[in-house]
Amino acid sequence: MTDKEEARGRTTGIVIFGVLIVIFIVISGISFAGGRDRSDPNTFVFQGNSAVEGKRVFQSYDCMGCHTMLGNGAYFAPDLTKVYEDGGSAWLLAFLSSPGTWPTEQVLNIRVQQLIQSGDLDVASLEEYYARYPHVQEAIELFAGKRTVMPNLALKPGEIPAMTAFFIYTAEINTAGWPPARIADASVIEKLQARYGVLLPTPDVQVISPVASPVALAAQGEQLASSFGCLACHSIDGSKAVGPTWLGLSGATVTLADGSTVTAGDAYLRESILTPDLKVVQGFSPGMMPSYEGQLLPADFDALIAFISGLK
Amino acid sequence: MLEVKYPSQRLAYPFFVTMLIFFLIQITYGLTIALQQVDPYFLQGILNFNVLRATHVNLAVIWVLTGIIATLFYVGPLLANRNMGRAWMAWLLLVVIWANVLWTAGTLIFAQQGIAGWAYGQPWFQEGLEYLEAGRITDIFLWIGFVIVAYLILRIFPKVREWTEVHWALAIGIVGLVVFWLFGMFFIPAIDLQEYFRWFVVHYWVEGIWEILYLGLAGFLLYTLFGGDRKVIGVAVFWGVLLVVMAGLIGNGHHYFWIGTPAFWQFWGALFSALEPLPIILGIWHVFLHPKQSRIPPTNRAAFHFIFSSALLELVGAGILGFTQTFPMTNVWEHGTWVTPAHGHLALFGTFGMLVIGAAYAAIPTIKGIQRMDDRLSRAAFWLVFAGILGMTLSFALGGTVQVYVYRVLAVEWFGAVVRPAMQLWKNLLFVFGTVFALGVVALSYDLLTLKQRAREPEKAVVHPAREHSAWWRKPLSTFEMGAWLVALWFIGFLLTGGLLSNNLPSVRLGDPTLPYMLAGIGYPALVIVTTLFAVRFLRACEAQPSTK
Repeated sequence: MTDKEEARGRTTGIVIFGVLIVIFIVISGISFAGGRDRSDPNTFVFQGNSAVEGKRVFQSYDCMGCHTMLGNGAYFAPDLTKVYEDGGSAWLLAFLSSPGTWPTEQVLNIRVQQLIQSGDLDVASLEEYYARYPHVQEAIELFAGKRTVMPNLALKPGEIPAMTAFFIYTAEINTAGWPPARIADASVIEKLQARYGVLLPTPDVQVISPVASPVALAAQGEQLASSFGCLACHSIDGSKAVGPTWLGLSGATVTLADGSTVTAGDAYLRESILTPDLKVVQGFSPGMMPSYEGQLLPADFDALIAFISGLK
Repeated sequence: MLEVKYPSQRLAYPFFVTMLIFFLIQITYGLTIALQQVDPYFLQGILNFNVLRATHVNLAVIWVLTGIIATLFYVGPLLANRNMGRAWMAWLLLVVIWANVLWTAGTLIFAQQGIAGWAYGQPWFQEGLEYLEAGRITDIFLWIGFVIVAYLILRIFPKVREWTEVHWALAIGIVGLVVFWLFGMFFIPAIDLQEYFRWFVVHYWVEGIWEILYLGLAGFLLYTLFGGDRKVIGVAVFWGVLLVVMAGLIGNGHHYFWIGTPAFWQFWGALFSALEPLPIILGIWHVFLHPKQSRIPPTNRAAFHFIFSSALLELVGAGILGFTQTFPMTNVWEHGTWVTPAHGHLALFGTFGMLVIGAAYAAIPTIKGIQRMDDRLSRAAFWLVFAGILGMTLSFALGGTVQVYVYRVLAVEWFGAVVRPAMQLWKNLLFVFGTVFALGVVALSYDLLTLKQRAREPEKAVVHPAREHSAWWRKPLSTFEMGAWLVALWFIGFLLTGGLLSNNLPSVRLGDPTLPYMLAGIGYPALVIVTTLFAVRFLRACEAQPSTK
């Protein structure tokens, strides 16, 4: 090729590139122009928190560093684009309150009842919630109370409803059919899960065994503490978690958020289970612990307090 | 001739040293997250996976950039025929880079407490988006660093009408670093728009600006180091750069398939990004095969190993592995799985990492006044990192193949309980090969930092006559053989593409992974083996050439 032919070729090439730039600008403009069916994150609100705020939370915790969103991120944890579609708001609230532990049915039910009462959920019962979100029912049956692979991030109040709004927004995005839907039969999935010891219990097997014979009150209390999710936030070995440790709590003098002190006797413990935000211990956040009003029988209170008192 | 003609070229040395230190720290983070892949509770709550990964990824970008800056400081004055001057600005830049790295490594940990440092609508400490995890303060100071580099280099360049293709490539590259970095400096509420602009930084850097810098630097290094034909190199650089931008501009659309943008991006993105391997193929073909080039005696074997393999691994890692996943019908299955980092690690380290290490081996002996290098350790280190990165690619790719089937095709929801154990073997192997890689990095770092102490006595210039090698594998490659190797590699590439495509079949989707597992199980090991054999063959053939050293 002569120098002149080379120079002409080069000019032609650069001109073609200029045309490609124009094409790129045009199709980009079309992608984000008004009138297109695009979701606006400002219009997604949950309990007064917008999806934009939730996106800020999502970035602040670098969730993309383990999870993927729209398939982008790290491949260490599940994709979260459709997590609201699969789990619903009560599940998100239950899970994110203590991400290091899979929620128990009791914990989930508390959230379902709270959301029904506040008008944020249009189901009438936990059973209806399960019917709408079978993924959630399966998760409870398989993993309730067990440790997750996720770190137990101490999310602050307001952050969880904000992230819920964000997930409602992402679930609505038109991802052109990604991820593809499953067409395999459930039996194929069950066989694969069985290989890794993840078995759905058969209907005859009782998931939560009832207390058959008389058991020491404290042991009963320990069981309740586990099934109601208390141990997800309160440690029994002195370590600090989302809530104050129970080790040595009974009878101790605790300092409250306003600086005053109180003795953590039976009355204080009962009060905290019913109205947790009334006397929050210094160094812990209000709005984290749900109220167990209506969830526990009087005998349950006795058992729990017996268990806590025994932790010295 | 590659030599220190101007005192400012010596400024490259502290930057190369910095590059190696950052590289060593980066792979330490890499081994740690590989351990967390094996045991996810390792360091959980102390240093979570996302924090370590963010640091690993950002350090990768920074050490390569530091190497590019070092190479620019070394090469710039030679291209400009002037001393760079303003040495204090270069030292200031080094301080800024160090301060930035230490600050960023610290602030990334804030993600564990959800602290981004929001003020005036921007996250100043860290912003938690993949590759853009660092906060605004880091962004701004890095940007200032790029401006300093652009100023120092462009200031001494000759007048524009005297520019060769290499000048153009470096100028466009340096200015591009400054311009495209800006696209990552905004919080965007709408996630589709955020993703659109995030890829402006990531894609237009690695599949655009960095490739342009690569073409300029590799072109320059080849013709000064090995006495190649300047005009031939110039043609290769021009067309290489033009093809890169022509394919890569709309090719960015291969990141816009599933993010909420219109479906027409599947057409535009796939069409143009499928062309992205073209400049790489033509580059290798043109530069290495031109009759004058293919008989170049590699007088700096260490540099030649790394620079050659950067072109080869760009072809395999960026070209072939990228090709397999650039189509919607394959991407829909592999998107969001380990098949992506299989391509990512080999492409990024293989292309850019190998190049700057090669540049270090080219420049440092001249800076240290070493006339005859002991290159034994460099070659051992080379094969360790070569085997290590290919082994890591294999682990990611085969682990990804399992993940595609279990998580994407069968859509099993239990990531920790089912998908993770299904991938466990490959997670374990990733750590093993990562260790091999790390050993190579330690070796080459030690080598580069102690070259002077182990320099050999310069021989009298003796001309070794060209020995008549009977072994065919020591003879230079013919056009036919070169073509055969490339065809073989691309044939395997089509096998791998077929493996991903097979996930579309109803039989696979209904629960039979035989076809994708078989094609991947044959294809990825074959790719690794053929790539290695090709490298051995090419390097041995070049070393058998007549030399004066």
